[in-house]
Amino acid sequence: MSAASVIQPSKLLKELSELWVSLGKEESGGHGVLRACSMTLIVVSEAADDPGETLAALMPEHPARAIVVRLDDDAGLSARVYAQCWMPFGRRQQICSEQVEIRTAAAQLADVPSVCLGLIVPDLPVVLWSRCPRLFDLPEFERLLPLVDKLIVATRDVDDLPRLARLTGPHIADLSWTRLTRWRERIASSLPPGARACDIKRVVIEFGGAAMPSRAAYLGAWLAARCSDVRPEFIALPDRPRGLCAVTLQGDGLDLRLFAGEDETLEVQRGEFSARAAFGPLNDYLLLREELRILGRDAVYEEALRGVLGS
Amino acid sequence: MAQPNPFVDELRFEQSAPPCTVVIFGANGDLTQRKLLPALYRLAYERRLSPGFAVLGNSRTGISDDAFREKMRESVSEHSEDGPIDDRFWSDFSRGLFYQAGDMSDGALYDRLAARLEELERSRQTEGNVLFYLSTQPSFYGPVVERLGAAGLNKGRGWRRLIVEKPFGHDLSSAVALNDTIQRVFPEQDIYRIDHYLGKETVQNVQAFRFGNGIFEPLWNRRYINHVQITAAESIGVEGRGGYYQEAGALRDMIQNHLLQVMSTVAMEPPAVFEPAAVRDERAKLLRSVRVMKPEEVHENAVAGQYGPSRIGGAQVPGFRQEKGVDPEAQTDTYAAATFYIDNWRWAGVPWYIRTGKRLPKRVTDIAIRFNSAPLSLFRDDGNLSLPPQLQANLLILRIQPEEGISLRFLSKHPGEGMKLRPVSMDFNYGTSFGARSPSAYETLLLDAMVGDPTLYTRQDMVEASWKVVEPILGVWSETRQPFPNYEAGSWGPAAADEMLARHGHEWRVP
Repeated sequence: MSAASVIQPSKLLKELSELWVSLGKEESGGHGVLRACSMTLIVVSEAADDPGETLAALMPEHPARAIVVRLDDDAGLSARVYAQCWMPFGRRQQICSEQVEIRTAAAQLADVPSVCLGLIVPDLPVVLWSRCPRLFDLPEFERLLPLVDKLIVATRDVDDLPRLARLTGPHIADLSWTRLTRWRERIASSLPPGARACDIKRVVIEFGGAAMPSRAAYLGAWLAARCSDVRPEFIALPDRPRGLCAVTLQGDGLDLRLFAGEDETLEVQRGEFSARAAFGPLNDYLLLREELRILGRDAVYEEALRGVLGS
Repeated sequence: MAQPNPFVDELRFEQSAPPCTVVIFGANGDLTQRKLLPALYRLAYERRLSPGFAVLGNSRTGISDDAFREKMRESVSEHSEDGPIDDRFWSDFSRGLFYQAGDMSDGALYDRLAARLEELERSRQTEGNVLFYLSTQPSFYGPVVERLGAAGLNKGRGWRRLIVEKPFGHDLSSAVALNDTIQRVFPEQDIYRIDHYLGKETVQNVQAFRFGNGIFEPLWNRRYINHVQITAAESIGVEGRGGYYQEAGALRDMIQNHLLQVMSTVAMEPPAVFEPAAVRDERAKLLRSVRVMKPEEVHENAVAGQYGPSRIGGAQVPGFRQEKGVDPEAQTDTYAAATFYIDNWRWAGVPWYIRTGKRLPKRVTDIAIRFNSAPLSLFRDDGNLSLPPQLQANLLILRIQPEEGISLRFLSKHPGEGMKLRPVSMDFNYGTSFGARSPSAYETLLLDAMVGDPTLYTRQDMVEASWKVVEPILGVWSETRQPFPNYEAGSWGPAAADEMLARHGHEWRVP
């Protein structure tokens, strides 16, 4: 544990190294612990927002050195290291991945990139997940970008998207787009065989709340890019909870409607046929799990983002 | 050729099946209940099935759709490896389960099936696509296929495909005859001969390991590899399948299909492209390159074994001949080991030792690739003579089950004074690096068949090539009175198998 106004990456690395030695000694089953790491995951969050539970769920599938930067305007710069361990079902050996927590006031955020640079695991991808909307507005934010291969954010409304498009450097992911995967999959699998995109003549997207959520805008852009003659129509349903409510695709011999049902279900209606797919709630773990599988360019997302901004 | 769906996002979407009906012959059987329905349920749960999906089960027992659903629910609950059934999800999934009772040898059954399929095409919007799954006794394969053809069920508005379970014939001539029967009704591209070993994630990973990395393939040949050992050991006995097993034996049950397919995956040449025809061509080419033993070579290069009674962990374990339904004089091989050679430029002269057996000390399947030792032992004078030669060579182990992964054994300096070397193991563990669950082999293979990807299925020329490899051994063994039982339950097999390797200066490793 170290707590000081100066953080030395080499000291933290030494503490991590000592942590592994002590974990090996603590383990009583005689099988030792196994260290796993497939990336560096930098998470920036507010002091009161603890991403620990999500990280714990992610580690078995995406073991990482997690560097959690918590913005705490009442705190000086400090850091501590710890390990996240789990025992896979049916196995005798614990698997651990390492975590570094850095607390800093927003004003001192400028000191953080140099610390992160020293802590990044060599030769493996680096992902930055921003859970903190104000990070965008901090001038130090852009100093973090050159360190990372992928930036994950979560936009809320369509108005958030222009500044996302202005960012340069890492590949960008927006969890509002990730939330659409279920919808997009269901649309793709529900179209009748031989249906061509050009057969679709009308697209209607209904969303809850007054402001258009970025999700609805993305869906419209994605569909428009495939049905080139169609401009999606958007219908706001202010009395419904924020989010995507339904999408209707109509055309020659085609009448397909998908809508969010109760209990996280997605219902498909095609003529007289209807089917319901039950999904669990989409939490941060599931969204990150999907995004961390994609470390390169996502051309379909980029096209949708361009589509939203061009429309 | 169908146009690709412009809405599919290959980066994010998991591959999913088009609308279809899966017709299962033998829907009351063990395979359906243990493997097929749990796999289909899981595929649906993972959003891999289309909303337009249905299962139509058939067997002789007269039960209703609802009774079939209830029975399948019990099966999935009992055999699913992914925790308890999700009730809400099951209620949606089970709406797509249907049942048609009838005797497979009765022509009228196929008219009833045709009517049900038409009805499902409308009500479930399956678009006329049908996958027939023969999960019956092998003797029914030919007759069922003939009746499907006679009823015109091999053709329809959508595609029609057929999955055939192993064994595909009991020797070369019966495999050819069965194939002739099936190909009169279904074209080769619609016949999916299942070998569930090829659907295992770790067997598929062999290809990723070999062809996705640059550092291993240059070593993957006779210049660097001394020999290869493939082991598929089971700790259990015949578990009530004595009657069937007595007719099959280990060589037919495991080596002719599973292990020769595994060997072909490890030894094949890189395909030009990763497409079904190219991959299967290479696999078939490899199997055709396996040297076929002359009868006089069989005793030197193949060993049959049968377990006798023993005590394991304080419990008395019966010998094979004491198992229920087994002839007390049975000459069945419950263990088989063979030395194969591959006559091509890459592998000439490298022995491939394959062994499989029941009632061995543990359940394990792995492939051990032993590399040649370093040309000079520089550190010989410093205490390393105590290291047996078999521990000095580098060993690459591809573990198929149960602890799926890859290990590389190499020598390292022991801490302290002097250059004392000790073997150490560098391990990649599938479960550690990818904590996500792996799909079962049946999930992978069923989805592939629905999608129309036969890469992991066996083609007729592969079936024939592997029968050609094992037939001389079967022929000699059938004419030999074997000294059975020749290994104790719970041991690593007969002494003759050790002697077979000793003749080449090698020994079996203990997995």
